[in-house]
Amino acid sequence: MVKVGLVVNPVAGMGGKVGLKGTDGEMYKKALELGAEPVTGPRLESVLKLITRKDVYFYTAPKNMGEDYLKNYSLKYEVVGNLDDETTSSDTKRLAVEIKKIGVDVIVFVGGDGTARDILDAVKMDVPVIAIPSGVKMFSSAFVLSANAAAEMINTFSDDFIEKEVLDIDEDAFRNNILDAKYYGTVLVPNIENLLQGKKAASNIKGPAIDRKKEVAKYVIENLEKDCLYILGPGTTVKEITEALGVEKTLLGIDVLLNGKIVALDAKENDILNLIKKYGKARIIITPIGGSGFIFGRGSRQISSEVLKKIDKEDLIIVSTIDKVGGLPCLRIDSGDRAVDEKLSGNLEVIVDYNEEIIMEVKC
Amino acid sequence: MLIDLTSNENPYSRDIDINIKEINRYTSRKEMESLISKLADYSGFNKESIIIDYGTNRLIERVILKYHKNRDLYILNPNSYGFIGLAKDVGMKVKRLQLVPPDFTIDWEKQDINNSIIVIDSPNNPTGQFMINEDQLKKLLKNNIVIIDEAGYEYSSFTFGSLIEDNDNLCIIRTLDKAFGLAGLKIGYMTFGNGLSKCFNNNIELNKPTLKALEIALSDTEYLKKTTDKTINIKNQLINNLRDLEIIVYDSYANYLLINTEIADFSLKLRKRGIMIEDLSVSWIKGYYRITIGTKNEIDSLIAAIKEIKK
Repeated sequence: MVKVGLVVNPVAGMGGKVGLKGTDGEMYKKALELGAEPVTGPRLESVLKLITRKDVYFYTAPKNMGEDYLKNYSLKYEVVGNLDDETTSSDTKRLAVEIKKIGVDVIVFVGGDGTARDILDAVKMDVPVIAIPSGVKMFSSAFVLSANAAAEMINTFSDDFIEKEVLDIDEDAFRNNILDAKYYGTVLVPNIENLLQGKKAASNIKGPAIDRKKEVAKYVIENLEKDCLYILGPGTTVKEITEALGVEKTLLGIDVLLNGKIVALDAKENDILNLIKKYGKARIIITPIGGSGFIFGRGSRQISSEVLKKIDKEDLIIVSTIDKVGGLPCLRIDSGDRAVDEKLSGNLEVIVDYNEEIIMEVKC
Repeated sequence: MLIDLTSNENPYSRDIDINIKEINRYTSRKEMESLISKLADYSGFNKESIIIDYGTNRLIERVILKYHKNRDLYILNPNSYGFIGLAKDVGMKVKRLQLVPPDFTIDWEKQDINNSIIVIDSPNNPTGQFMINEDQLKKLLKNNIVIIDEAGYEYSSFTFGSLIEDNDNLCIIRTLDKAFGLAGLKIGYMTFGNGLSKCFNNNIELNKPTLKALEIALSDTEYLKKTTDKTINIKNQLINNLRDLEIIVYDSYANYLLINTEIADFSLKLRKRGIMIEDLSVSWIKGYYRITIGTKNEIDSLIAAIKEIKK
């Protein structure tokens, strides 16, 4: 039997129809007052009815966090944990941890970007996930695009998984129609892309992403200069560089490297400016945000326009994997200072493998 | 039965009966020369500067092996070439030029490419469009080696062949995989300017079954003409059908079409209905797909499936 966990965020997506753009925190109560109805049930059921695999055994969260939907189908399941009538984000995390402890092969969850972050907090990359979008904000690449894809993953997964990103969207900014997304973490999802490849697959997707990140790190390290500050952005591609150097790095913060040692962890704008003042030469190693392609101006605000004023275009080292950056039409910058943005615009080389770059246009 | 519209193959079955005598003997020089003459007659290339090998990748690898020193390799992204690994193995830096909708054009003036090997497919796969014109190509050739991959020549009827004589650093590659319906043999040929002749001191010897099959295929111009015409007609019809279904279709000079649709998981939904198209979302930009022009029946099935998906 394959063991499949199930966690549903029953309030995800309720803010959408009543114009709230998210139900994070207490906002879902407001959504209820405005007459919002749950939308996660129908989303999940559109997937459940397409499951053809016979050897699936579900370990589900109780009541409206999973159990209620499985009841209507002839799928085998058992309920894990307890639940009060009112559910919160901490229930998602708690039940995901309990389900993970059972030793499931994959966890299916239904929700938005907020739910994805809760699941990521709970299971890290220890258990692959299948993310069914039902939120208001679903910008993370971890989400499947359709019920068909989610069902296909459940029906076919074995041991081939690929990395996808979970993003953190600023909900207050989003209510004001500003999409401010930053990288939050990475999850594993079943790889169904192989099913869609013909006899001559594209030359840029061979081999696992982690191997390519290691090659990128190796190439960057070979080219590091002495007495030059390296301001390191967030994400696993950049983190691979510090891993290879054997030094610490925050996954989400900005850290600064000098002569193979970290001189500032989780640095703020002022820390960075002071270090540049002290040491002079500085370069930035950063990876674009998946989906939007932003390198500056979204997410890591510590690398402000003041910092960027002190950096030349040649001192930007952009790193990524080709499957991620190849999906972008351009890179973007919106630092808040037009002159800075224009200085850094135009063609830029992105390192995607050892001795391999893709030339992308940076737009502002 | 799965309808495979992923690999830009000629969809019309081609069976060649070969009766090979004296397989205990190596292919003779005379047999190779005879084949090269036939290729020269067909292509219009000078027979002194035609070389033949098992596939486009092998031909490009020969140029890379000879001329990689202190040169970068430029390729377009996406592509499905297999020589990139070898280029990196010999120490070349690989630089991809990203193709971006809606124009998919490369501003060659802006690229500042020098002392490099540049591979450009013409028409381009997957866009079906021409990526470079004669003036741009001549400028690049001043200080670069340019390899033009004309795999889709028979469908586009356009070649840079006339530039070979005056441009030492130009290579043009063709294939017999596509319009000749010989994908299973994987044979390509190349012609090149005088400056590159050093990398091709010797033509390789093909094995006898391949040689025999090629001779038969090159003599049968009827298959070539008939299937190419059919494919072009069906392509034009398919463009209209897809546009009627509100799918964005780009003009194409090749035997495939690049399309764009917002239908989520379009290729997966077609796959469920027994049809495979190339899903470029996996390696390139979301929502883009490449459809090889199949037979009329295959394309009718595709259209029926899309109508069902759109219901």
